[in-house]
Amino acid sequence: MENESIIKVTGLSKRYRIGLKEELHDSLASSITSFLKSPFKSFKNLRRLANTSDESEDVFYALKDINFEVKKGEVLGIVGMNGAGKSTLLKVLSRITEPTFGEIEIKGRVASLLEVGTGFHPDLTGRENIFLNGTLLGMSKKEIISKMEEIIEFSGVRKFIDTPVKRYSSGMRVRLAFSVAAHLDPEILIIDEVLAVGDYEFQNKCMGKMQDAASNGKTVLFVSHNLAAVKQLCTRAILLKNGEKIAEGSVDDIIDKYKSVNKLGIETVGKKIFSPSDDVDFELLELGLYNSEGKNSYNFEYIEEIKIEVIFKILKSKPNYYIYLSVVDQSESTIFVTSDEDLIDGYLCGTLKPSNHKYNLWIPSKILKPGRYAITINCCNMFYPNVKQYPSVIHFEIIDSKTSRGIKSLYRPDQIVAPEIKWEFQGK
Amino acid sequence: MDHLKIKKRQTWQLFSKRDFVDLMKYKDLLITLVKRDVNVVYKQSVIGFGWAVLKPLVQMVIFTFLFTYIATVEMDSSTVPFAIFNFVALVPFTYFSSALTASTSSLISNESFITKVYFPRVIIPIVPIIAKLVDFGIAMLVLGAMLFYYYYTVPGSIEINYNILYLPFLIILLVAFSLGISLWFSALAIQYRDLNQIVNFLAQFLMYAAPIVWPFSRFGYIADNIEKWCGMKGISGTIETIYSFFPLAGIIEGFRVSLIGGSAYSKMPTELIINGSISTLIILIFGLYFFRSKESIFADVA
Repeated sequence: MENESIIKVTGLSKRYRIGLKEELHDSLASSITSFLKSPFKSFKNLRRLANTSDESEDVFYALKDINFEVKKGEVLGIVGMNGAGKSTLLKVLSRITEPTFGEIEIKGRVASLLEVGTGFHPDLTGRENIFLNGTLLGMSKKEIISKMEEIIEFSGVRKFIDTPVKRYSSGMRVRLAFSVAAHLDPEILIIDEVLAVGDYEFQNKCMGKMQDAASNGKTVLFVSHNLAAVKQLCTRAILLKNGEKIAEGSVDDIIDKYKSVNKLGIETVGKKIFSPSDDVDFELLELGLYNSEGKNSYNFEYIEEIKIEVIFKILKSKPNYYIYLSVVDQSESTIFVTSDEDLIDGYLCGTLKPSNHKYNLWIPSKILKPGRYAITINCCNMFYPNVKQYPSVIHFEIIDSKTSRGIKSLYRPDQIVAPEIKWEFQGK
Repeated sequence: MDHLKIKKRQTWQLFSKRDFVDLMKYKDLLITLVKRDVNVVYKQSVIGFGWAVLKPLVQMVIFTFLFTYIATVEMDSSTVPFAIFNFVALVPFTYFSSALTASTSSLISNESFITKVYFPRVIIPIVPIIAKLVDFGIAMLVLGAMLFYYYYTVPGSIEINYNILYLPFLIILLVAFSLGISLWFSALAIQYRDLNQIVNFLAQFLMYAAPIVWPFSRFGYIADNIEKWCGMKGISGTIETIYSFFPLAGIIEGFRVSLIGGSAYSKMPTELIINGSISTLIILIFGLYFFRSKESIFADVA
């Protein structure tokens, strides 16, 4: 049983028809005739929407000849850029839309969460919406009644459970919706990244729930852009690009491949080069992030030191100038600020000669908890307003696939950093 | 264990055993959605379910005024007041038109379900068909009260007899016809939104095409007039035969015979009802097939 494939996808393709360019008219006569003809044209277009059998220029493949298998208890990540076909694949797998070619075999009860709170009606109470949402996700009434208490408890909105949902705050609504989804008991769980909207706490709840499902031997299909999440959850992954599966394998291999396939400019790989302009006294030329192996990167392990290289140009020496870097998290709050004052006791950059210079600095390991961060760089005069500011110039991501410390920190969203603290036991 | 194969359905294999298994599995969804529709319609309104009574009642008052004081209609019997003659027909017709209108737009208004979760799509247009039965039931109670009133105040106007036993069958026919048309309309409306407009015209047209403000006994006269107007000799008989396959005619005349009775409505129009049942069955079965064949594209065209 263990090695049996529970999902088998063979030769799966899905075609859609995309709209063709509208005609433009240069005369009144032609627009009038086209207006008169437009009902026929609209009818033809609307009819063609559903018909994808002919190969014409406006047919496009959202998925093209996809093959893969998922074994029981596996957590499969599906990664790819926007428009790669990830969501379409999930829609076909969850029977929302029909494939154009190919087939899928699924053994087991499937629950797919492409959105939380589907079917919530604002005028109904929380309790009524639990029934509505639950039955929509395929639960029976009996099942919902037996789990009602648990669902209400988990959601934490007990006080308002008999109040219409339209009076809920959006956070309460999401919590209730997720609580229903969390109490589904399928053998196969299909989850879209869109789940990971909402506040930090909610995201972590989602992640925790998925990890639970995975560790309980459920088969999970997980779609995400968030490589850290994929790396944390999944055992295997497939990579999609333009509707085609271009790689399949271990999570690490696929993530490496994803990074190399999607070189979205230099920033995404952790280095940014600036084009110089000579009208300021300070010019940032290059900002790069390097991992412990000295490789240019933009995602780092929690237990890894991050090396930052700053290459800059001084056009005119000015005392009292200093450079500072701020590390900000996703909610734009500053985690810490560091300046070249740390180098010597004073502002070094102000005393430098007009030329190109380079700083190396290191963010210590085991400080930043897993998540996305941005670095902002400034060059300031202590007594004058900012000379040059570079807002959020480079982004990076901390993941934790090596220890459990970093991940655990995610369950306490109020915790800003995750430093390792020295503890000592003094037994009697 | 569940074993599922997903692939493009061939047009010749429209129904499978799995469809019925699925439908049974999701019966609680149907019940919950019906409850939602019933609960939500009159939420935050002052008179609530009073609207279910008021809608046909107001229409009846308007028609009674119009057709007794402005344009008189030759009636079957002088003993039956126009108000009751009209209201008996308006109650089933109001159900038909409101169920059809709600059902036609049902797939569009529940688009978010269709594009986000799987369930047997046919549930969606069925929901308003069932939910509107609540309004229909309330209107029937008012009709009952009216019948009682006329029974005591206008002697000889109402004579209820064994023909009332036809009523359950007539209601089933009414529901089946509403569902049959709705399956066609809802499946078309999600791709061609024009149907939302068409259905309004259609409801208005059918209101006059069905014997609601005029007695069915006048149809012979109407058919003769159409013949004259067309200028084609001998088609009035054909028109009458075609018209007998219009289910609402049989249903409404049947309602009158079951509930009003008396000398004017003593004989159940069995031919009308049988022909109406035949066309209803055809519309319903082909409607189910049509809906099924369109179902797979709903998420793509919605």
